[in-house]
Amino acid sequence: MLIELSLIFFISSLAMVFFQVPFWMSFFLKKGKTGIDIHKENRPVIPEMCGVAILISLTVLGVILYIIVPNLAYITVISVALIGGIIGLIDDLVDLGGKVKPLLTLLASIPIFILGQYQPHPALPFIPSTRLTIIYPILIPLGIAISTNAVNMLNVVNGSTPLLLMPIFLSLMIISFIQGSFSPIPVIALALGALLAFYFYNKYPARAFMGNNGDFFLGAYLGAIAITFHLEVATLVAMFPYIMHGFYALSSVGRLFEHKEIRNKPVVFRSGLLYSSSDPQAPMTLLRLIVLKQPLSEKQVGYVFFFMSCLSSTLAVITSLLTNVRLL
Amino acid sequence: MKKNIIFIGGLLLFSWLLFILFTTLIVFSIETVESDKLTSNILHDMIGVLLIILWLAIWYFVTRALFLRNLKKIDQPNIS
Repeated sequence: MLIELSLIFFISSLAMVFFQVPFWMSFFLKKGKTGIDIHKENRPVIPEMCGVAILISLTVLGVILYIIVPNLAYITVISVALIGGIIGLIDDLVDLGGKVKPLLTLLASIPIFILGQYQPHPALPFIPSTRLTIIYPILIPLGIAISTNAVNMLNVVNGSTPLLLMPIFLSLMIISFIQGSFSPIPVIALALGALLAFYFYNKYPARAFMGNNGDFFLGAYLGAIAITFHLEVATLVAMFPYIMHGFYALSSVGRLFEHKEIRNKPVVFRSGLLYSSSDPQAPMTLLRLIVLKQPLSEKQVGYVFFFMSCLSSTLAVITSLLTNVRLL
Repeated sequence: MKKNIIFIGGLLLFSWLLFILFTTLIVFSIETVESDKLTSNILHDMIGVLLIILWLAIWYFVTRALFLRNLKKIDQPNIS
């Protein structure tokens, strides 16, 4: 039943987002909520905040899913994502700053504690079950904050969020199939449908930007799925492109920051190509590493992101298989 | 684009192999933890955290070294 339901919810979220985005595009254009597409020669003005379509669709469909299948994990995932999305929405309207925003996202994990949807026994490669009773509850808010902000930090070229997240969600679905645990599949199908529909508008050259609300919603959604459905390590590995970016950027800057605060830009746009900055003081970001060997167009960078996500998602499936192997 | 994919894919594979290596180390370290419940729990968690810090440090320094080596080879010296 869950498989058939997943298919229905996949189509529903795809249709709901696909038909809703044009409305939000014209709405935010009229309201002046726009951003400049900086990696284009003509610097077009694009409507921002269109991720609202994903936030609304997944919340409504998630609640319907919970009514049909009363599994507390579903409502936990939706609640966590909704808190994340609302924080993103506030940031879209009133700039929260580079320090307050990540701290606020710690709060998104509250529903996991209230509904008791976690088990402090994550599986690691060669260790089918660990006993992280002390550290695990501390790691939950951090995990949600990291996944939420990571998705937002790497939304740097057209289509990057859907291109990076679709393989990750797909790998989690494959892992659930392999493990014979079908309960996460409907919520994963919801996200996949929404991302596929949004990609149509966000792909190069973008006609709609997601805004922080969409990035935060999807990041929190992914983090909540990892914790509530016991897919922590697989998600961690699948998110390696995000983790690499966050880790390199934060360690090279030495503090939490916003893109606009950085004076020495890591990449430079010239004649339709993205070049790695030769400034040693500029932050070491994933985008800078991608164009380090030779300059690429924005569209090519999107393909490299997709390749990276496919590779890390494949590694996530392998890692998940290794969790069933006992070394000692 | 091929060069870029090989470089970044290599970095990703290196990160994963390092992760697998360190979880293997965790398996062996866990085996040395004694059975006393509270102490073993704390040790269990602390060893894990220390190994993660070590993993991140190696990860950072290797990537940084590769990055700086390639930065010197950049063929657009005036772009900053």
